[in-house]
Amino acid sequence: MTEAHPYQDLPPRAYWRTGVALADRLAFPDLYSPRIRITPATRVATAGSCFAQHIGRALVAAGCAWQEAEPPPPQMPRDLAETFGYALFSARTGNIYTARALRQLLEEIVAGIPDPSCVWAREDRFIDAFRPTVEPEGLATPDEVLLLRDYHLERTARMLTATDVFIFTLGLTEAWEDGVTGRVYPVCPGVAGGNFDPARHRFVNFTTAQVLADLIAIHALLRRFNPGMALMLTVSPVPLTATASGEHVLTATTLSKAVLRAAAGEFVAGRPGTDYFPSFELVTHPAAGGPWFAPNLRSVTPEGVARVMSVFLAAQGLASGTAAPDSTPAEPEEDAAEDDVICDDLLLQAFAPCPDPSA
Amino acid sequence: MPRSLCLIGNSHLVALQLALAQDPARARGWSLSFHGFRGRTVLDTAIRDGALHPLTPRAEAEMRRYSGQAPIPLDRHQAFALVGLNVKLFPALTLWKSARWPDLPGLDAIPDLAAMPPALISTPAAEAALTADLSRLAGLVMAGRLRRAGLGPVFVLPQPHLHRRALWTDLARFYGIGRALKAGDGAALAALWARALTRAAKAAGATALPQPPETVTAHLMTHPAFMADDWSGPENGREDGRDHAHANAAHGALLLDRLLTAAEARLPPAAAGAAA
Repeated sequence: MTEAHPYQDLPPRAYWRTGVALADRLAFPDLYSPRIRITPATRVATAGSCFAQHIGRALVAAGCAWQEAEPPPPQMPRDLAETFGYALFSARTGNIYTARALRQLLEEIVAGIPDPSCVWAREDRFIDAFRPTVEPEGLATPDEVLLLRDYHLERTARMLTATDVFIFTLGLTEAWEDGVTGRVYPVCPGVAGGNFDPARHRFVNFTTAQVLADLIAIHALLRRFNPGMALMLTVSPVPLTATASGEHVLTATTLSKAVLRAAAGEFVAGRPGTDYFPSFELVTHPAAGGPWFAPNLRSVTPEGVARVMSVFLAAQGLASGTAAPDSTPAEPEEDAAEDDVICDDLLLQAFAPCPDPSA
Repeated sequence: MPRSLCLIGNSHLVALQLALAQDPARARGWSLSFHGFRGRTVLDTAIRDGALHPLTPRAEAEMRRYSGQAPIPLDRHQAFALVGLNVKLFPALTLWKSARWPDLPGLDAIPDLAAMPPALISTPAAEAALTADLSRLAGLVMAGRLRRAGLGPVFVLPQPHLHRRALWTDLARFYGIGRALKAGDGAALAALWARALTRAAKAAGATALPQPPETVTAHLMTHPAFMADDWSGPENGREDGRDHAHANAAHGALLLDRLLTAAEARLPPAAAGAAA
């Protein structure tokens, strides 16, 4: 007679055969069991890397109370608003790729005053170094950058006090840090503005322990605004555009995503008020079907995005599981797929050497 | 042989017609052809085979009523002007109601910007938003169509700002003109409007000819000396039986002079006398 053991009464989702091999791998009904419940009345804020834009859109499409700290003027057409960084994330943050960047933003909001080091020159204009693409034409003076950053911090602070769930999409672990201020930038100085100073700007590739520490700090900071705020994490499936690590970009991507996934897993384990949604697995794992990447093997196809978000919404009881988050055509051209989200790090693509067709 | 200028517009064409009627010599060397439409009907047309064709019975009726013909030949003209056709200051005022930007002096009086109902946006964002809004207006849409047809330079003449006395009318109250002026934002708002108009016209391939500065008062209004008051214009712009929206012949004369000067400058000397 067999002794009782922990595997005896596990649900089907705990076994590869029933949880994956024999499962409906399109709907994946048991893949995600929410620990944080979102209803249409839940006030949800989103931030993070490019992929976070899809989550906000899906929540809006599902009729959720998606928070918007800085709505654009109604006269501004949607595409123009997005060009100016509106309606992409709950605040006009631009892409926040690393946990460190979100942590420092929240710390700046708590401090209540913009960091003057955020002003970068770009030719004869000025931009906000921490969200370098939200003003495509740049601004006339450093004071204007600081005024708008101050407004951004204040509006975001007020939004956070009225937020029940904060969804953060972790993008990557690589960043450029200012050796003087200790702050990290979303893009390397010199790419979208500012000047690269090798004596001052240094490359960092955050470890699992560092990301975990940042996530713990983020959770605590968010709860300063609303003690009941829950934090949901997800990891973007979008690979790195470029790496400065010295490694091949594919192995650098693997390391970056593995670190983020491990840190997210460790963070939510046994921590109340936290959750992890497997966007990364739903796009990248061989068991998840696909391919869900566009021909450039970087952009997630609209079908892939719709699939990820339908799993999320279905698990939350917000949709039947077939909701498409936007009206992007089913088979867009490669460029159209890339244009679907605003990615600051795509600026790096401009610096990639072109293959020599004669070679 | 005179050069030929085609003017397409709405009721704001009248000021130019009055000016021409008072002093035909003002347009010496030019043949002017006026074609009126109401509302956005001008957009219910298509340019093909060198003519403006109606696409709806209403557009055809308006062509026959105001121009005496349908379609309207275009290829005999060397230059084109879109007059009025809803290109006006109101979108700038609507933007001011929903947003503020750092150029505005009135911001200094607001103690808590994050709490004010309008959004704080950057000056470039304000200019881009207003440009996009203006680009939807009939005059600018039509300017783009004419330019794409490649028939000649295209000029856009906006409607005049409201008569100064209109400050106390429902229309001005709705658009918050008095509040913008009281906040000290009139000059900056007028400057934004001018930049956005220039950009929107340029995007359409046209040239904007803003309201003559000598006709403007309080940045956002038109001086009474340049406004019509005694002619029975259309219902739009009238309140309490008075016309607050339309310019008079003196205003029309200034517009006509600027338009013909600009057209002259754009036409190569070789084109002079080329009209068939």
